Amino acid sequence: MLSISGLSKRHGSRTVLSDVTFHALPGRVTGFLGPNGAGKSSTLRILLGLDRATAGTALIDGRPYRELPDPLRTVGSMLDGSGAHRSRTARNHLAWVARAGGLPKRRVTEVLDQVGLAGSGRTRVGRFSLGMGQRLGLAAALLGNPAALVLDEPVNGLDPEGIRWIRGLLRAHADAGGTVLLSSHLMSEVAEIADDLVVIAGGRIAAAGPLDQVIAGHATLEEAFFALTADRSEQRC
Amino acid sequence: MTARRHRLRRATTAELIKLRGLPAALAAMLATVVAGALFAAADPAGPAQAVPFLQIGPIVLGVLVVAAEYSGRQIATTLIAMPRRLVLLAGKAGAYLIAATATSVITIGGWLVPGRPAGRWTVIGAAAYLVLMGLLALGLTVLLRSLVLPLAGLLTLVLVVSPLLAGYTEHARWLPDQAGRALSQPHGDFTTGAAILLAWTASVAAAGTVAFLSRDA
Repeated sequence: MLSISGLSKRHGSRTVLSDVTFHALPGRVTGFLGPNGAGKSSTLRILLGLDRATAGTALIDGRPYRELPDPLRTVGSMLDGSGAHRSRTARNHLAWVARAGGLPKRRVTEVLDQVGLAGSGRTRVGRFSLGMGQRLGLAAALLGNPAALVLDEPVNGLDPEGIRWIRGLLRAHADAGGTVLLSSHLMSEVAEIADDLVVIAGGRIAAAGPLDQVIAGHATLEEAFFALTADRSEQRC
Repeated sequence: MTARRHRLRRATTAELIKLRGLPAALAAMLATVVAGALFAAADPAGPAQAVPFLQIGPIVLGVLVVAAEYSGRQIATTLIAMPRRLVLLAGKAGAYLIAATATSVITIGGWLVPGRPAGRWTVIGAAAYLVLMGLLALGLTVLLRSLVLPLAGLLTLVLVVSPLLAGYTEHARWLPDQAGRALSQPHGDFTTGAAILLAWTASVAAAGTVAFLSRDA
């Protein structure tokens, strides 16, 4: 389980997150929805130990990410694209990640197959399309066969076939008991796949709960979203 | 303790795989070795004259292994795979030291060929100097998180500023490269030179480590 509680983050006088609290549960896909700049990436970066919170905690099965004994086997994550240097090959990138995580080398070939990059292992990342980069990022997330997946805007740059594929993959992961937390600014995407929804706007949680409860009283997720985030956006203007 | 040593070994080998996948780093190592062989053939008396130029190689290598993290978003992948930052940094330094020591020993090895007059200590000193200058570059790049700043800064220092200052004031001997130069010279003050260069490297590495441990990725 991923537990975010009372999370705040300030950069100087600018408040990026205030009192963000929510959970992502095993067996469910949790959609983390909000406009650009709402604080989605900041929350995920703190959850993954990249940035420090000003206050509050972000725990994975009760532990901060930096203290996980086996991080890549516990959480698979992807932030913003491939996360690989452009002059390496896809295979070299996955090879060092696997080594760093103490994962067997054969996993590199397996995940390249799994994400549909089997033929591109020797291609330099700089020559990848946006969608291929996204697939490589996902391959790195899957290397350790983790129980939880944390993905920042995973459908960015994927073609319709890729979007369908990733939807199936995440659904299967949750159905097998895994935890999936994915951020998006695309409402239709989230509505298609999420069981639970967390809506963030202006660094604050506007709503959280099962998808149908959050939408209740609105015709569509889109209407619910704008109703929930409207007052926040006004505050920010 | 053993878990920590285990992690350190993993981090070092992961960083070696990473380095191997970086064509620019391999090119810097190869160019240094080739330049060393050419210098050794042209001036078999000793590496002292060649070292000011050869040091460009390890400096580029030291900058590259860190700057590659920040030229895209690889740093996020790195910290996610190795969230214990001190272990990660130690692994990175370890991988650099392995690659730079191999490169420097082969590069300077040209002066050890039998029949050539270079003294053993000047040859060992020159190799150590090359490795340490690159380690200084690595530490500076951790601090600055940039490719251009540390590379341009250090190359300007060792190729322009330091030789110019050396002509004006004897205080130039406190500069890392002027001090370290004594390591490769037959009659240099080996101990003082090594101490000054080590002090520079250790200070910059310490500053880089403190920054790396405390700041957001």
